[in-house]
Formats: sequence, C-alpha cells, structure tokens
Amino acid sequence: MNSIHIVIADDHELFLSGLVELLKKDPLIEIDHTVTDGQALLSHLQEQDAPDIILLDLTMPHVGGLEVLDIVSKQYPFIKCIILSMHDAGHYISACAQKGAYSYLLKNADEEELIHTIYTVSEGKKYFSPAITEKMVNSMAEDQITPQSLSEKQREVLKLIAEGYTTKEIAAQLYISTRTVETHRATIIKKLNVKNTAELIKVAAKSGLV
Amino acid sequence: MSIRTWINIAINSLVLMVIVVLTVVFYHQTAETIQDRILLQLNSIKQLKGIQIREYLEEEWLTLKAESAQSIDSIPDYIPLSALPATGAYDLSEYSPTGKLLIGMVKYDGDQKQVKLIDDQQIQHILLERTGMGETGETYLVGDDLRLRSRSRFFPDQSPFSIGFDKPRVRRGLSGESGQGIGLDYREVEVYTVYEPIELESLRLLILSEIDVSEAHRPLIDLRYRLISIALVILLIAALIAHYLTSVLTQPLTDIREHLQSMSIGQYDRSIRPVAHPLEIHEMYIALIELQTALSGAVRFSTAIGDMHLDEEYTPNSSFDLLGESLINMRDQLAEYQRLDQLRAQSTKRLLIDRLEQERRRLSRELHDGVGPLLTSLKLYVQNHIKDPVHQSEMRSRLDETISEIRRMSYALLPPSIQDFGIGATLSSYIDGINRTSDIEVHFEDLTHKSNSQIDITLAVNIYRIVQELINNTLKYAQATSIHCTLSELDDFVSLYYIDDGRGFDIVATRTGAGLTNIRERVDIFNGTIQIESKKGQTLFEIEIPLSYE
Repeated sequence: MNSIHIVIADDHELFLSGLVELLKKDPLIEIDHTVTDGQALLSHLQEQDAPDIILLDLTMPHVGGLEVLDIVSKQYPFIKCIILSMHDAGHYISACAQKGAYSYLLKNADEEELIHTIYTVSEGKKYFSPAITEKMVNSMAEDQITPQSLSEKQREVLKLIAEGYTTKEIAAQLYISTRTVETHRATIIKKLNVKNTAELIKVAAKSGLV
Repeated sequence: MSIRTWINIAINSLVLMVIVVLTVVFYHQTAETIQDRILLQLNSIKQLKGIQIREYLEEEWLTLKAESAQSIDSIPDYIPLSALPATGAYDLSEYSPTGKLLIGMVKYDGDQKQVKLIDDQQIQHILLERTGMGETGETYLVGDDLRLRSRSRFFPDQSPFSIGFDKPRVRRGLSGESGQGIGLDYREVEVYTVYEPIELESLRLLILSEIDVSEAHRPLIDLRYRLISIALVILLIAALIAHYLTSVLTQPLTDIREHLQSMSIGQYDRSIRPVAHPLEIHEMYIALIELQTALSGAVRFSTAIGDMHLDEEYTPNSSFDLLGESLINMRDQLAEYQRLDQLRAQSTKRLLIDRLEQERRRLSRELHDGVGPLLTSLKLYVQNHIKDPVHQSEMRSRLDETISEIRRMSYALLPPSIQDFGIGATLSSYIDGINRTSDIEVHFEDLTHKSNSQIDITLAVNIYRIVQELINNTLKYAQATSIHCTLSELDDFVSLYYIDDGRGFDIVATRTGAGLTNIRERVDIFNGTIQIESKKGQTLFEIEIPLSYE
C-alpha cells in the first residue's frame, strides 16, 4: 500500500505539532508539509507536488478554510480535503460538504476516528460520522426551503387571500405579523402587475397560482 | 376728574346756557311785542274816543252856532257870567256843584248871547265804553287845571274835579303834545299810557287811555312761569340724558378696565360679555376679547410647552406676534433638544450594547479559538504520550467533556455562525438546540434572504438576543407547550413574529420586568416597534425593526 501524503493547515502551532506527532505514529501516513494560514497553503500547492489529503482548519488568518476549500476543490479536484474544525454547527458542516470536503471532523476527534477517516478518504470515499451527518442533514433540510421560501410564503399568503381570509387571520395562520402579510400582499400585487386584491385573485386563479 | 363728571358738567351747563339765553331773548321779545300791542290798542281806543268826543262837541258847537240867541236866564246862577267872556267853549267844571265835567258853550250875538251847558253824561258814556280795556284799563279826561274831568274808574264816588293829576306828561299834553309810554297815573300806579289833547275854541282837555302795567304784564308773568317750568323740565331731561350717556360710556369703560386689570395679574379666563351698543364700545369689547383669546392661546401654548407637549401647534396672531414667535421658537428648540437628547441616549445605549456584544464576541472567540485549540492540543498530547490505555481513555473523555463545555459556552456567548451564516441559520441551530434540550416544541421559520441579506451583524446579534430573551421568558414563566417564531426579512424592515401558548402575563404589571425591559430597549435602540398581546393560552409579540435603523 502506498503511503498517504498529507499537508496540514492550522494556525495553532501547539495543535499542529501535537497532530503531527500523532499521525507520525502511523506508518502509512506521511506528512509533507504544515502551514499556519490559507495563503501559505495555496502557495505551497502551487510550488510543490500535490498531496493526497489536506487536513484543513476553518479558522485561519488571511485566507479562511472555507475559501481555501473552494479554491482547492475547483483547481485541484484530485486533492481530498478533510475539515478539522472547532465548529460543530450544522451550517459549517453542510457548507463544507457543499464545497467539496471529503470529511468533517471536530478537532477533539479521537485518534482512531481521525486515522479511520484519513484511510477512508484516501480511498476516494467521503466520510461523515453519524453525529456530523445528523447535524448536516438538519441544516441542509432548512437550507432546502430557503432559496424559494419567500415566494413560497407569498404563495401561501396569496392562497389565503383568495380564500377570503382577513390579513389578521392570515397572519395568525402563517405566524407572521399583519404588516408582513400586508407587505407580502403589496409585493405580490406588484409582481403580478395587478391593481387591487380583486384583480389579484382573478389573475392568480387564471394562472393556477392558487 | 372722571368722565362721568365731565360729561355731566358739559351737558348740563350747555343745556342751561341755551335755556337761559333762549328764555331771556324770548321773554324780552315777547315783552316788547306785548308793550307795542298794548300801546297800539291804547292808541286806537284813545283815538276812537277822542274822535267821538271831538265830533260830539263840534256838533254841539255847530248846533249852538246855528241857533238864534236866547235869554241869559238859562244860565244857572252858580256859573258866573265872567266865566263866559266871549263866544266860545269853556270848561266850567270848577263851578259844577257835583264836581263833574261841565262844558259851557256861548255865542254872543250883539247883546244876545246863546249859552249851552253840556254835562258829562254823553262824554262819560263814550269814556265808560270799556271794550278791550281789561280790568284796569280806562280812558279819562284831564282839564288844564291838572284835575280829572271824567269819572275815575277806581274812585267812582269821588267827584272828578277833586282828583288832581300833576305829572310831566299831563303838562306836556295840555301844552299840545301827544305821546305814549309808561308812567304813574293819578293813583301813583304804573300804567301804560297814551295821551292826546282835545281842543275846541278855547276849551282844552287832555284825553288819556291807560292800563295798569301789572295787568298788561300778566301774560308775561304767566309766560315767565311757563318758561321756567319748561326750562326745569328740559334741565331734568338733560340731566337724565347725561346720566344715561355717562353710564353707557363709563360702565363699559369700568368693565373693560377690570378685565384688563385681571389680565395684567395673569387671569385670562374671565368671561367677557360684550355690549351691543354703541358701536365703538362694542368694537372695543371685540378687541378685548381678541386680546384675551390671543393671550390665553399663548398661555395655553406655553403651558403645553412647559408640560413638554412639544407637538402642540400654535399660529401666531400676526407678523408682529413676537411672543408667539418666541414661544414657537422655544418649542422648536426644546423639541430639537429633546430629539438630540433621545438620540444621544439611544446612541449611548447602542454603544453600551455594542460594547457588551463586542466583549461577548471577544470572549466567545477567546474560548473557541484560544482555549479550544489548547485543549485539543492537550488531547493530542495525551493520545501521543499517555501510554496507559485506561488512563489515556479517562483523560480523553474528560478532555472531550471540557471541549464540549467550552464550545457550549462560546456558543452561548455568541454563536460564531452569526457572522458566517447570518441570523436565520444561527437561530435555526439555536432553536434546534432548544428542541433537543427541552420539552417545549419550537417551530422556527426563517424567511430572511439567503443571499444579499440586508441584516448586518449588529442587527443580527440584536435579533438573536431578543429571540433568546423571548424563549427564555417562555421557558421560565409561561408553562407553554409550543412556540411559533417567524423571522421575515422584507424590503425595508425585519419582522419577528413570536407566539406561545403559555399562560400569558399582565402586560402592564410586567412592564418593568427585566426580560421585557431588555427586549423593549433592544427594539427601541434600533428604532423598532413592539406590539404585545397576552392572554391565557396565547402570548404574541410582533416586533418590527427598520433595516435602515441609523
């Protein structure tokens, strides 16, 4: 089995040295280089042979981990990034997954999990632990609604207007303030290019919006 | 001197003067006229009677002349012949035994002489005709011996001859003059008199028509009384009019003075009842009411300013209304001052909260980025150097707990994701945490813009704190089972809708509660509005914050 070439990017020297020391114990893992900020990492990639895996911290000076991940995924798609972060919020995880990270580990991950992840990723597989996956899924479930959420909300408002509910009733049903309902109504009227609520309902019915 | 006195004196003295002048002039005019009339009447009476007497005597004379002479015996013996010296008429009254008028006429024709005695009967008849002579008027004859020849009206029993009458006008009359005027008669009583001599041959008599001045003047005296009473009545009326006028003029003046005085001591609410007449006084009242309205308007306005009701409006009475202008200026200055003060207070609060949040963020970062890596390094160290597996495992699990705790603390201080992913995502994961750690069911809907969100980090942190506070309150007090929370980002404002099904609270009584106060303050410093409705089973917060809150 070939050895796994790794570059580590972390701004914390102590952590960095501890990690290097930990990984050195594994015979197959070979640490090519360590850097303490994103800029240095990118320069290194330009000058030296590409590693198999980058262990990437998210919080770094100059160029942050998310940005580095973006660049690496696009310019060096064959390099697999494993995120090592203190953040355990779902947004960070799903953002990293979307940007092409192969794995997401918390910095206090156990040695076994770390080694296991490096091996798995080196085979070209993505790996997310169950706990991380759950957080990521939650966050992505929320995110999935988001791109169209406003117009969806507007559609709901429109539906209730067409069904003859008052602003106050709509507000109570959708858990939004009356002024929000009014603003949505105004936006809908503007978007559908109609003059008043009556015409709005007509146009909405004709175009199958409700 | 008061106006009342002035007007009274002026009107009364003017009226008095006019009355006196008119009365005197009228009286004198009347007196003159009466005098002229009297004299005219006396003259015509005298004329008439004079003519009658003259005609009678002349007729007698002519008759005598035409008759032939008779014997002398026809002469009574009490008349001496010497009294009839030649042809002619003679006054023989001095020989008359009765003392009455006796005229003798004699015509000598050689030795024959014709004598005729004429007694007073016919003449007296003429004289006693007293038409138009009143009570004291009489016409009588005086002989050249300055004695009466006809019977006196006043002394009918005395013989005329016995009554003497010696006055200058009698002498003048007997010497051939006629005249008129006022003089004393034989009774020494003042009379109007006209006189004229009657002459026949050598006979000379003076006829006088006279009337007592007192009688002639009786109408004048009547007139005088009437004039005086009319004058008195007029004076009385004048005085009444003057009194009325002065009260019409001075009553309102006094009234207006009292109003002005009460205004000068600062009492502006006395009601003014204007009199309708006269016009000038009425206008004065109107002006006074305008003054009162203007002053009390200014007073009301300044009171409002004093009570800091700075939205009170005031219209200056004119371009000269310096007081009004100053008050408006004062109000504007105060409003500006208040506005700046509020702005200052608000920015101070915002600054304080900013500092607080900065400090929290710094602490959060210290924990997360400073202590966190140290602990993870320590964990690596343990994994590298602690060879005893039991010991290593124990240390690793302790370290993991510590790291989790540090992470939790860091998040509680300020979630780092708020900077990187915005308020919506941060609240989502915060509420995820709540759902995981408590029995309550929180539904959160994130309607913020995922890209190009206008919510900056300061506002985001603020909203995060508000939601934290709201959820804390619900968890602590409400005994609710579910919460619905929606955060909507609209074009120019952010709307936070928060409703729980807890037991509700008394908004007024809880107004000063620390949690609510914090929420209100945070809404306030971002110029937002908050609406709270609370009843059993439903507590609703509607918070709106403008996106351009600066």
